[in-house]
Amino acid sequence: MASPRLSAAALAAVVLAAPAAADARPASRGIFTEAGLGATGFIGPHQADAAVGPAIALRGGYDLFSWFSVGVHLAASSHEATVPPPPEGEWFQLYRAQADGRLGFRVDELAFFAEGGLGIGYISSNVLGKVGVTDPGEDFSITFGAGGGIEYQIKNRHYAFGLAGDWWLMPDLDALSGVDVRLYLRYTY
Amino acid sequence: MKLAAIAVFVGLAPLVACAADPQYIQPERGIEVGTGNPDDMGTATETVLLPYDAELLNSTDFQRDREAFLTELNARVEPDVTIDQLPLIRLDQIDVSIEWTIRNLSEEPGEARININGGNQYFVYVPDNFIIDPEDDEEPSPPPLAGNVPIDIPALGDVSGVFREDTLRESALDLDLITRGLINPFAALLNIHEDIKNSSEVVYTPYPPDQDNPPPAPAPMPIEIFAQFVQLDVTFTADRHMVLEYAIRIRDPEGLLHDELLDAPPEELYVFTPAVYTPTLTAP
Repeated sequence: MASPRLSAAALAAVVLAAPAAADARPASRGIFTEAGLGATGFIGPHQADAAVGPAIALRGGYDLFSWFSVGVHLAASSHEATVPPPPEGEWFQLYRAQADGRLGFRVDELAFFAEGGLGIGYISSNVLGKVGVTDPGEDFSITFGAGGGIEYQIKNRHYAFGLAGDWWLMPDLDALSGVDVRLYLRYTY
Repeated sequence: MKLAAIAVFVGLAPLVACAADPQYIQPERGIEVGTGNPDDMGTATETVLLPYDAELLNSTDFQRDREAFLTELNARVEPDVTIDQLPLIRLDQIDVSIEWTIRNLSEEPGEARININGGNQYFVYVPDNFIIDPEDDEEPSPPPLAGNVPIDIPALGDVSGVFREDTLRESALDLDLITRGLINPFAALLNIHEDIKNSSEVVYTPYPPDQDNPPPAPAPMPIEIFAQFVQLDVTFTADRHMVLEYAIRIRDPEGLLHDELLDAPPEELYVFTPAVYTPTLTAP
């Protein structure tokens, strides 16, 4: 069985070598924007306190290299609180903004990537205060996120479609954590 | 560029929508009645003082905004309104609703009622204060500002409901009509006034109704000077061992409530001193 260090080195070699080795479909590189739709759900001890909700995401940034980009990722999701009543059937929103980096490689029309970032999150209401997610007067938290995805480059070199999934954590909101899944459209200028 | 513009619009829309996100005031314990204790009469009342931010309400910016509001109001209403008649918390500055759940802890079905009363910065409404002859057992007291509906609760079951924003807005409006408007509470509470623009649209019916020399009608009050609740009195009555749990939901787009709500330090909360209204009091 290969050691973790060896596996990481092999993965890095694949990531760095792939762009050169593959006959990748032409794609623009530079400033890009992404708009995505999907769903967000909580995991961990607060999984039962809110339902999976619709989510939107925006990401803009710059491709420093063909295999690495930096950007700003904005995400918003809306959830029904499922805390013991009352209240009942109430909704709240979660907003996250983070600076992130994305590392990836492309094989023909497909690109594979891993991403991670750090930022700030905001919860719109104290409805989860009943289960200890928010303390009095507390609605912001730093946010960590990490994930990955796959992207399909269409023949127009400016556009691509993608499917991404991210895990996130808000330590200041009682370690609230969740998972996003989103389909997105990317435009590279 | 069109894609980017659409993306930015889609992204910002929820941020605008969250400007009036509700906050929930949840008393730590529910109201429990029917415990069998000698002092338990099957009814109990809990008063919640809404946690308005003293620093904000005492600020010069807030006072300046009130004066500007008053100047603009007096330019279009007659007679002029004084600063004392303009409440610190106006009716339409916040929206209040109450969500509740009643749990029947007994093994028999029962009936419960929730009465909502309360006060604005001027007066607190207490229905029993309107009884003219305390020795007349048949003289009814006026209804509460909201509620007093019998609710059947199954054995060991629970029932949830809500006093909606429009219901409590009407209650706050009726409270001002009864107290500063000198309207008979029966007339105020049994009619809907949600669309009025001025108290002059409500037929003046002083209380008690059969006075030889009824007080003159007070000056008309434009809807802009009606006051919002600063306290809520929640009364729970049940014929079995039951618990009422409730959450006060407030939409406060102007940020008048303290960020920490009921957990705020007491010295940071605005202290209102409303009078308990009796029909003989003179409105300001």
